[in-house]
Amino acid sequence: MSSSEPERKATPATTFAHAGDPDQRDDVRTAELIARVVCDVPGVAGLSPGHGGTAATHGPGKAVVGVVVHHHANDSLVFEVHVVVAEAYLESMLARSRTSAATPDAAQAGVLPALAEAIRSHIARAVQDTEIRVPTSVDVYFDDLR
Amino acid sequence: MSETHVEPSTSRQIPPEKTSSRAATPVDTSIAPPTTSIAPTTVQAVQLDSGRGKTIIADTVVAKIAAAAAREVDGVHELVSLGAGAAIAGIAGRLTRADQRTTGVSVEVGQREAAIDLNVTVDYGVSIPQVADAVRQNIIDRVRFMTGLVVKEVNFNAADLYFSEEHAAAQPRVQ
Repeated sequence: MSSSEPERKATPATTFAHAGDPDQRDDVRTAELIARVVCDVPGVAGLSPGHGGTAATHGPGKAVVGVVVHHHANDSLVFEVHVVVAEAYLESMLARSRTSAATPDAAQAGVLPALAEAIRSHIARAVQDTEIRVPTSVDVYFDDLR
Repeated sequence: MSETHVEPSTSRQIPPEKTSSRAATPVDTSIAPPTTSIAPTTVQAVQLDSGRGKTIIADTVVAKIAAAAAREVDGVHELVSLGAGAAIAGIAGRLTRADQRTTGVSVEVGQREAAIDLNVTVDYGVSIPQVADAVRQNIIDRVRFMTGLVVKEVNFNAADLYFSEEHAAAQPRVQ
């Protein structure tokens, strides 16, 4: 626990460097949108705070847990989403594979990698209609199964 | 004498391969055993996707999938944790209502491969090697299907036997 303390402090320190900057509020708004979109993807049971509970986007008065917006130095935008997988979804995919109607995607790469791709496309589609930049990449963390 | 010299050298070549395929990063593997026993809670599988981002599957997820696959096999009574430390952790976990679904499973995940250790209580009356093989196959298939990870090894430890009511009653007793 004590080892995760410095990390937790480090994240707000960097984001609060531009406190009052509209960019930062945008990050929270972006994270909220991403969180909503990801939760709607079939197979996602919810968002997870990640190992050590540090995965969140912090803003004034609130924090979006499970989604981190990274602005990297090379001007790339990376979304980090921490997902709890629905166990029922895995079971249904398994049942479907037994009746030989598995999606070729899942059969090739595995259910979870396919789900990660689905999350990415959902985010890409949701971002299209807004003024949010298209992310350079979306890192999907499967943290737990529920 | 020359033959006995060959054997140790070939057997010595195998462990580095094994450890390098298991380890997530090519760290110095000479001290791998102590680190891997601590690592599973923090080490995660990283699978790089084509430019759209990383997909990271936590050890917990792989462990839960493996445990579910193992429990499905007939002859597997329960998965149990081993050792005094594990027993204490088990009691603490039960008291705090921690998730019991990863009990008895430890997972090491690399980039594309995984190794899984199991502690199993086996039903009395079944062939343990056959149950072990069935468990192995089921885990390999299931983890491959769910996560895309290749399971390199499943180490099956029959930790105890479970006697059902009828078997317990049928035990001849010497008095």
